[in-house]
Amino acid sequence: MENEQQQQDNNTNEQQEQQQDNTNTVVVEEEQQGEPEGIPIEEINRDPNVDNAFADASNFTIIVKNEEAPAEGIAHPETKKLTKRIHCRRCDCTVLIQNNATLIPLLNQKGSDTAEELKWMWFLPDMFQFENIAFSKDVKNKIKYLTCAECEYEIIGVHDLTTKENYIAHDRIVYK
Amino acid sequence: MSNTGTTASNKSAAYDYLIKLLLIGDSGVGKSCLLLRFSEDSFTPSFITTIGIDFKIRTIELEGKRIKLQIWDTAGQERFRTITTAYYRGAMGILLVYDVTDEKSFGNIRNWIRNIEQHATESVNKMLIGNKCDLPEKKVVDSSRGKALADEYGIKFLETSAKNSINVEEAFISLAKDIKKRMIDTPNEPNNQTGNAQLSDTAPAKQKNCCK
Repeated sequence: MENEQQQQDNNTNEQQEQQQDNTNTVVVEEEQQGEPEGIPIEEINRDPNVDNAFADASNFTIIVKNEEAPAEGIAHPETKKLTKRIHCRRCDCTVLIQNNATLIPLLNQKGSDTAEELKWMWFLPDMFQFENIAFSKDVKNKIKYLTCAECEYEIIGVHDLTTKENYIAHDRIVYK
Repeated sequence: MSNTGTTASNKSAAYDYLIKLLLIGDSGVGKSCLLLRFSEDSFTPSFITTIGIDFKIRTIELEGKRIKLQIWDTAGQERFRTITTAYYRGAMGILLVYDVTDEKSFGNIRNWIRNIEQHATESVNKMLIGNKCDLPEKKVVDSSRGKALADEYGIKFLETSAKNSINVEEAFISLAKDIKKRMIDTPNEPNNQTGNAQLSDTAPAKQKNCCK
């Protein structure tokens, strides 16, 4: 009986949490206007001393992040081109200037070794559209990670070795 | 990766010229630090450090033109003497780096120049860099010797401190200037493959430094 009561309590708590979650989700969905779920950009927080840590992604914890959708005025309403400047959120280095990237929601992609799922990306077909950026060495012959050219603090995007496309995560940068 | 709603392959009008630069020199002379201005900041060892940086893109403004520098670091390859033609391919400028507190790294500059002569195109612009000039008490290679060696090969010379951001930007800008003069401002030069005549509408007019 006590157990049941406890369970009910738990359920109630869960429901309340869910309701809160739903409220958040609704807000996000309104801003996102029903866009498909996001695909991941990879970030790995692992022991850097482990040799070849990046080659095996089986231990990653996946965090689906309900990132804030980009505010209005950051992208052109029709062309979706960047209307602000993008800076590193740690050291303020300029990563991108106006018009050199397009805002896109990434499609869901299964089987990714993602640590944090992020949806909103700035898309650049040409790497030389960046103002300042650093490219990592090749990872699994598929991608290069992108990081701030000044502070190299964190991964802010990826470069696809096959398509040569570049993606910068909206959630990992600041606008000016 | 798939994306929605964008036309790929829009030719970028984000720059006027593109210059490929290499950093060459012994291990430990601070080549990677020349690419990382905030080298003294202590931050948590990140995943990116494990993978290593392949190259960087920096944007500078030179005589009213927006120039993209693509700067490659040997990233430890030099230890295994595996720097070959592939690394030098397309390079327009090379920063030859030694450590002013390390006699051997200075002596090896001649070997690196031989390596460049073997593998890189003849016309490539070179510059000699004596790094770690923030350590005068440990300095063993006198500035005059650096200058003399540079003069012998007819190349420019600068002492830098990646740690204190002394002359780092100046080194890159000076080399870029020489390359621009050779490849772009001299119309008879046959080697001009990099000119991108497109002028960007969006280029901000006043951007002096690499960053900010």
